[in-house]
Amino acid sequence: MENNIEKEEKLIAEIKNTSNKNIDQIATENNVSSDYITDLEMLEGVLRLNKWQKETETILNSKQSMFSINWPKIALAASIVILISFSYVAFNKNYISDIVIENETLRGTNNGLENEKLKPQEKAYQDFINGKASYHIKEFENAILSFKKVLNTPNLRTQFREAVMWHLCVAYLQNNDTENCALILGQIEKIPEPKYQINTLDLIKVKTQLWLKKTF
Amino acid sequence: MDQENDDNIIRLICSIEFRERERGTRLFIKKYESRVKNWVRKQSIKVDPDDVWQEAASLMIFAIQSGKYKKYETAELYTYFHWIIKSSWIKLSKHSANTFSISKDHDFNEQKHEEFKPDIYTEINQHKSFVEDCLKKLDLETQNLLIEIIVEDARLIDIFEDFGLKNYNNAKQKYFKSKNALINCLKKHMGYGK
Repeated sequence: MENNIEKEEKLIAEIKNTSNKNIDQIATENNVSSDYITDLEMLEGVLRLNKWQKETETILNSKQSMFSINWPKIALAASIVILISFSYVAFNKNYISDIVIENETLRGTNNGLENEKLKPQEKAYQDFINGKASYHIKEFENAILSFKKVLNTPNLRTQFREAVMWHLCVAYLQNNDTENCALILGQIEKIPEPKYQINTLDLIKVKTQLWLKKTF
Repeated sequence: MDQENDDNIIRLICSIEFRERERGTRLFIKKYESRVKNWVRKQSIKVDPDDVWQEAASLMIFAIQSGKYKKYETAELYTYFHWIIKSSWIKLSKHSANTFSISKDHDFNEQKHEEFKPDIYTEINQHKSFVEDCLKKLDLETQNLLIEIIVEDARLIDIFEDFGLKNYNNAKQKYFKSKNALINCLKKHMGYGK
């Protein structure tokens, strides 16, 4: 048998299919000793077991790596992040990113033109500035009045009109007038191709806070 | 739940098909992992539950696959497994079992199952280390070559080049030399194979 690998390979296959034959029979047929067959059987068992053990350890380790993740801590961290994010959208009242918060600038009348009759569109812009000023000193009812006056002006530029609608919406929200806020918000959302871009986060904040005011 | 029946798990773990062995191992893990780790966590001396689980599960599956685990008619698989878990824990806690009390597994009655307590932990560990010691005498490539031919029924002529062997005659010599060395080593360790 020594160095006759082809015969060895045939013998190995035969040993594995020994449902009907015994060791002595196989040994005789292959012209080897029974001990040779026994040794080969033993070796096959040891090597197979060793291979299977490595597989088992791989599977156990793969489960191990999954369970080594601390799911409770991750869940807690995720909850905190969600809570902070929700708190931000629920309570942050900065909805209008581009506002200028300087009363003198907004209300300034020292331009020498106080007595001149303004065109409707110029008047509208003046009302808008007044509305913003009122908003920032938390006179929300006055702000609402000013913004509504602007929207009643004919021939306003589309972008300007949309901007005023948004300002009116948030002024209603701050004034706890959820019905009118929702109404204006609905109108804003129906605009097919808006010219005035509302910041997505601001929109989320308004919707969240509107929902909270309506619910609680 | 039928799949998690011990008989089914044992059958799958001993299957010659890899996918069935994998399935059996995963069912074993699913059935026993939490219970083992909970038991470890309840003990007075703190030991990493993962370490105990890893060792005990590996030994139990080895016992099943090697035929050392014998199914008892009046005791389930966990009966046998419990003693392996306890032995692993004692070893990993590095204390003698007599120096402290071990909390009970409330689902397992040790007194009732005392008769099934095997001296298996030492026996299995010894068996594993004998085999590993013999295999370590061969390099990994040679081990894999033997596995491919003897376990996987590959033909040497088809695979010898994959193992970095330059010609077929050299490969044949390497096979027989390694095989005989391994058999002699295994036989030397307390008459392995009996």
